[in-house]
Amino acid sequence: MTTYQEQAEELLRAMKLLMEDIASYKSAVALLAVHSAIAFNDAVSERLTGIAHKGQDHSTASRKTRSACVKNKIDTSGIKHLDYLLSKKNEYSYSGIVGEKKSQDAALNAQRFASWAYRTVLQRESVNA
Amino acid sequence: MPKTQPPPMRVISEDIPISGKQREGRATNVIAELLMAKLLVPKIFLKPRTLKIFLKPDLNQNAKPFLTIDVLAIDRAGSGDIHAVHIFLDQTKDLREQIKLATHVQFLLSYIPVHFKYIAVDSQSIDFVSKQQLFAKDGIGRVGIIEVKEIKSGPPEARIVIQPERFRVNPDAIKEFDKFQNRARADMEFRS
Repeated sequence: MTTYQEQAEELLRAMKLLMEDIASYKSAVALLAVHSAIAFNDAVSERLTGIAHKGQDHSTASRKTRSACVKNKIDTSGIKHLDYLLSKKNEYSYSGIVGEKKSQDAALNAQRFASWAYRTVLQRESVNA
Repeated sequence: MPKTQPPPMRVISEDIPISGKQREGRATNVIAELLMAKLLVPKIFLKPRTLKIFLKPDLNQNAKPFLTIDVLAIDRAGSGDIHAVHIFLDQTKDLREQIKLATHVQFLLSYIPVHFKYIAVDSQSIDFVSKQQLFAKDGIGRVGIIEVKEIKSGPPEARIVIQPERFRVNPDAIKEFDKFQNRARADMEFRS
């Protein structure tokens, strides 16, 4: 497992923990959702191309993942969840407290993106893992 | 004129007894929710009847599978560790039920080839089941215990009383689970 995947899983676990008291941690859940998706994308990108995206422009990273998937004939349907979260990143970061509904929405998109990443690219690393 | 809301329907079904199958079904649901929260985007199968995997490769081919897996959860969208839960809600008041539960635990311990195994029991059976041998013979792995608390006024609650420890799994069994996932549709999963 790469360090990107480990980081992505850590962020996703933290998001799930905070979701148990979502009323108190709405903004934190939304931000963790975005950052776990970015880290999952790095793990996917590293697996497909050997390099993870470096830099702040995450939409470029998303485009690169899509193009690597197309090249490898991998289903790209899950990338829309990453794109959605990236489009909300600034709003979640700089517009004050995120509402509960938006926060749940972010969490759902993060989990759907993670699910896609596991099913299509990350998969089982060893038969006993 | 404001629309008037109809009065809420009175629930009068609380005293209607439910069958053993219905109790087990409610427990299945609540345990699935528990695993959904515990694992990372798992694929969950409820009572996967078509799963005959425990016939091989660890079990004598002539033996009949009498133990069902009630909840099967495969971590990381089907690519990670495999968790299996067997539910036993018959209260262990008499010796016959105790022997039955002890046998189920032994079968789970010895034959179900998954990474994490759980026995789910009602609150009254916790003491009895926790005194059973829950550790694998080779020392790697321990069966976890889930308590199912049945509450009259609402849905049951499930909590892990003893955390399971990871078992070693034959790689051929994992391949069988992968094949199973290709032919069966999960009851709960995050779709993309």
